[in-house]
Amino acid sequence: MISMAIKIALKELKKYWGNKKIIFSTLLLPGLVIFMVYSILGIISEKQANNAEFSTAYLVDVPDSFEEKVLQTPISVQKAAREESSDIKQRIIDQDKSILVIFDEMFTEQVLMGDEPNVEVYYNSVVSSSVLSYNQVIQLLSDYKDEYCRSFTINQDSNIHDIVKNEDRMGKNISSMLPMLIVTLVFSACMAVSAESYAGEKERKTLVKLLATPIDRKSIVLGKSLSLGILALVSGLSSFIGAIFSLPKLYAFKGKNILEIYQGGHVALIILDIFSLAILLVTIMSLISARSNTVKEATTTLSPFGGVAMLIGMTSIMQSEPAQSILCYLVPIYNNVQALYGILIFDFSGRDYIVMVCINLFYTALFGYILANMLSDEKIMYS
Amino acid sequence: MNDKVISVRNIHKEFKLTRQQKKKMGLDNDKVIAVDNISFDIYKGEILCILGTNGAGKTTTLQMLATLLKPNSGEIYYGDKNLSVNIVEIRKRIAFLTTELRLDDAFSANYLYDFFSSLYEVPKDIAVERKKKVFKMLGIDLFSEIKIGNLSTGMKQKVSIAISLVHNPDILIFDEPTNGLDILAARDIIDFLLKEKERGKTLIVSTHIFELVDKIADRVIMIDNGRIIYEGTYADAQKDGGIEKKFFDRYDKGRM
Repeated sequence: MISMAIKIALKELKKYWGNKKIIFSTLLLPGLVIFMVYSILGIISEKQANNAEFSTAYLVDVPDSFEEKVLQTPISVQKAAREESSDIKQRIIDQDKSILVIFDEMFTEQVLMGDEPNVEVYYNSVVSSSVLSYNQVIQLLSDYKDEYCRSFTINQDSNIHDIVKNEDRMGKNISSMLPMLIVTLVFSACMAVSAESYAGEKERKTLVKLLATPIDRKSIVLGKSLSLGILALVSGLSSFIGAIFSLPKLYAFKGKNILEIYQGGHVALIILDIFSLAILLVTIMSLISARSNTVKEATTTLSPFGGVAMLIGMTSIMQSEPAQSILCYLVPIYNNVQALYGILIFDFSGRDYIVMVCINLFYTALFGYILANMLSDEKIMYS
Repeated sequence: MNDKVISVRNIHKEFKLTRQQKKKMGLDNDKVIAVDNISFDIYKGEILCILGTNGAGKTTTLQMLATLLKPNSGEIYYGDKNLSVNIVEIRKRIAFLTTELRLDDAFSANYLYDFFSSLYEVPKDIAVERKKKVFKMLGIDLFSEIKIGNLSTGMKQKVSIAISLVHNPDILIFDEPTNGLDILAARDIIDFLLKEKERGKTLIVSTHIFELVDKIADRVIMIDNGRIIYEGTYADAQKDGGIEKKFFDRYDKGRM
């Protein structure tokens, strides 16, 4: 039995080694893709860490010894009067890249007398510089406590210290998840329909009938891409609708749904974003499908890129604001993620969005043109 | 002689082999010649049968005539029109049918006929009339709403024929039209080919079945190793022992 099994295994391996495309897509491509994606993510993280921005800390009744400690950090310091607290809090709510640190009145004296005064630190969790500065100040306060054996509490009052508008918080949470979900699910939907589009027809020998007609190859490509794009769009919308109802539950925003935060215009922009992504993906995937002789070969080649799409979608988790450079909007998929992220956190740039849509349509037309020429290539179509 | 509708002049077709194919076929060359500088004419209203073994070059020749493959050299003329520069116009005049060419299993004959009619921009009223006639002639009206995937091989072949006629082509190119069919379906297809000839159509049919040649051919071309080894009228081919003897004599001579 073992010898028979070995014979069968050897035959299967021979079949496998005989197909260069399969070897490339199962052995080389996944490693290559992982290496490239993690390298790029590493570069982005490093760049973000180097360019980390701190807020202005408004200090109320701050002891001089603590102020000195804060001055040694990249946080800029500004002393403020207790009466200004409300205005500063409002600025923090309005995402003014600030934090507010309020020491109890007579803080030093209270400590010396053995009382336990409190320090309140207000920040906005949606603004990354505010979060960064908040964490730094909390660490400094903790060090300050240990260093001088002082006894005081931090944020031990009944106030809410993360002062953020509810919709901003919801937008931030949703924006970190939704782009990844949409990109991944649209990618899967596109793959499901596109891998089959040309390779399947080649396999079933149904494409020749169409190619024997006087129809222009570009019409065939356009017709197929449109139908596949619509299918992928519907699938993407299905994911979006699912997210509308599920993400608020995930983040415990009781009684809220996304449509209470985002206007019709936002939803329309999201739908166009998904469509521009779907039509581009189906065209690229159709190219790979047309080059493949079987659906299996096309699927095997496309699969590793699913991971890439997911990782590109995950970039929104690491961001505090959408990419500012227009060059970022020239990179397909990444530009969709950035545009989606911008819409979801209400930091929408019309210029970047238009660049994203136009460049995706340009790539779609370019790849569609290549695909149309491939349909006239007998080596590819009748190999 | 009738009017010449197609002139084939010195067409040559070779295919590049992959390293694997080369190894498998035990060849030193990285190219294989499928059609080797052949020339012939096709006349209006005739049935020309191209006879040859598997791999002789019949299908490649027909695919070149049907505009699906381009010759590496040589020319094909439809009337006075060069195929390489009038490809769209010529596609409107021809029907190409091969058992290698299949229809999508998910659709019915009715749907596919309408779809291909619209691709050829056949006016709707004409398409309806034509469909009625051709479906009746081939007996498709009995199963026109059944999905292709649920039909027998013979039924599928009939639907393929019907669909290849949506634009009323004057030249029909059929590659092994009775391959894989049972005797009844094969008889229907042969009747259909003869009826089309009666209607003044020009037919080019490739086959390796001598009986089919006997039943339909006006002229015969025998191909072996991409070369024409015999060309003549059916009556001439019948002389001196018949077509079968003529074919094997020449085939064996080529192997010696």
